[in-house]
Amino acid sequence: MHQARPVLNIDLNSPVPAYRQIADQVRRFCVEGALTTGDRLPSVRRLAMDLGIHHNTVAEAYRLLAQDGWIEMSQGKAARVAARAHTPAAAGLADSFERRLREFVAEMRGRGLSARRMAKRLRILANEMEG
Amino acid sequence: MKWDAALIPLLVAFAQGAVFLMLPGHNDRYIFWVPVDAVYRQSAQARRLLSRFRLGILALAVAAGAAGIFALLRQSAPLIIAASIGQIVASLALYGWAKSRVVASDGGHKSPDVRRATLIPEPLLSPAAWLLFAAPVLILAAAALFLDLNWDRIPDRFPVHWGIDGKPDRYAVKSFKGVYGILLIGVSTLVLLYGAAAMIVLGSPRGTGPASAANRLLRAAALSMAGAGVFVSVLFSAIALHPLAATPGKMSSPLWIVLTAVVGGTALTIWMFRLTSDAMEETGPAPARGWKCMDLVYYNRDDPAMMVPRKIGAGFTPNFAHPIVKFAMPLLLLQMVAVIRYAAG
Repeated sequence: MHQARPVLNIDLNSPVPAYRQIADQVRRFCVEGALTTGDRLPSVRRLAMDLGIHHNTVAEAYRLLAQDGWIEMSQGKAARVAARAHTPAAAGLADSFERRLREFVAEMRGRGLSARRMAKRLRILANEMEG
Repeated sequence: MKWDAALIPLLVAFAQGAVFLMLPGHNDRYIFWVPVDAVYRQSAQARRLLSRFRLGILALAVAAGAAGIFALLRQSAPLIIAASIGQIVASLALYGWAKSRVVASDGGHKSPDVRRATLIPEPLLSPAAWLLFAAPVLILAAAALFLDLNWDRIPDRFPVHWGIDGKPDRYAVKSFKGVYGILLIGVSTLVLLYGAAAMIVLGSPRGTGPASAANRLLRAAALSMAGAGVFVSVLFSAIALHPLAATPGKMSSPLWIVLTAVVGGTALTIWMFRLTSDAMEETGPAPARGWKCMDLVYYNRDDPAMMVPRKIGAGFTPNFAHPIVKFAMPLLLLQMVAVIRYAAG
């Protein structure tokens, strides 16, 4: 069942390129269940129009998502959310996760967020994404 | 002259005045589409300027209405048109004068850096709304069928155009062109209206929910096209069927046509002004680099939209850089020329 309707928020001033923001958010919606297998995504042109950005940017995001197996695209048909089997974590993925998390936690601690609050939020997020 | 005919120039003058009265803008960000700050908006200087403008517009409407009635008494069509155009020109001059006196600031709408889009949109129009689009086609088809079934009853010569006094001033003979010509003009007008509706619904940015201001503006614009289609089909069918009327040649008064067009058109324009302003407030205008000619024209090769909400005024404006718009514009001009040629005989 769908959760709240998924809405993309793209910040044109962000250092993260727009295509990467789109891909990251669609992936998050898939993991959280806001997008489920078979859901039809807007066409490249339609999404570009709604966001007021060039269609190549959206096409690049869709290409990335298709490459990673999150969506299926075929000529002349709408992109759809793909059925995705749970793949076993590759060796070293946990290390990579910890390294990136350390950097992020350090940044947030530096900006005043307590370790306790961060741990609480992380637990909630992990449970949500686990379903 | 009948009393109701005298109402027509008055109605037109006041409807034109009502549209001009919308030009100062109705939110705190603009006066005469010049971006202002809230302090200036509330100042005595700004209020005095707005009062003078509104009084001037009302005075021009009264003068144009009186001139129109005088022209009607003299049975002078050029004078009626001159009164109406004179009002528009004088009102625009007043608008230019008032606009030049506004103290501008940096408070206008800006294209947002954070853009939003829904991935699973709700349908923009309900199934019932689509029926409104079918109605004009059915009306014109029914009129054509009725004329075909009653071909023998159509007189050899019948009126197809009436003057401001309600008397026929142009006739047609019983032929395919004479009988069905007006219906064909109706069909070509519908094609243009529906083409514009399709460009708006399929080719402009949507909001992120059914209640969003952007989607309300889209719905209103599309339904306005369907409403205009109903008006056109009823009017053109009535003219086409007129030769079969009990007393052909007698048109009591064109008042109901003018009344519907003027009141409906004015109400629609005012409504669209408000919806456009709400949409600007919610999502901001299309990217700044696309706006040309004092923000009146939109030309942006990088924007895939065919139509975007107007930054100044009401409704939508085409993105003139879009290939489909480039193709559609000559068709629109051709249609206008065809209608003008038909009306001029």
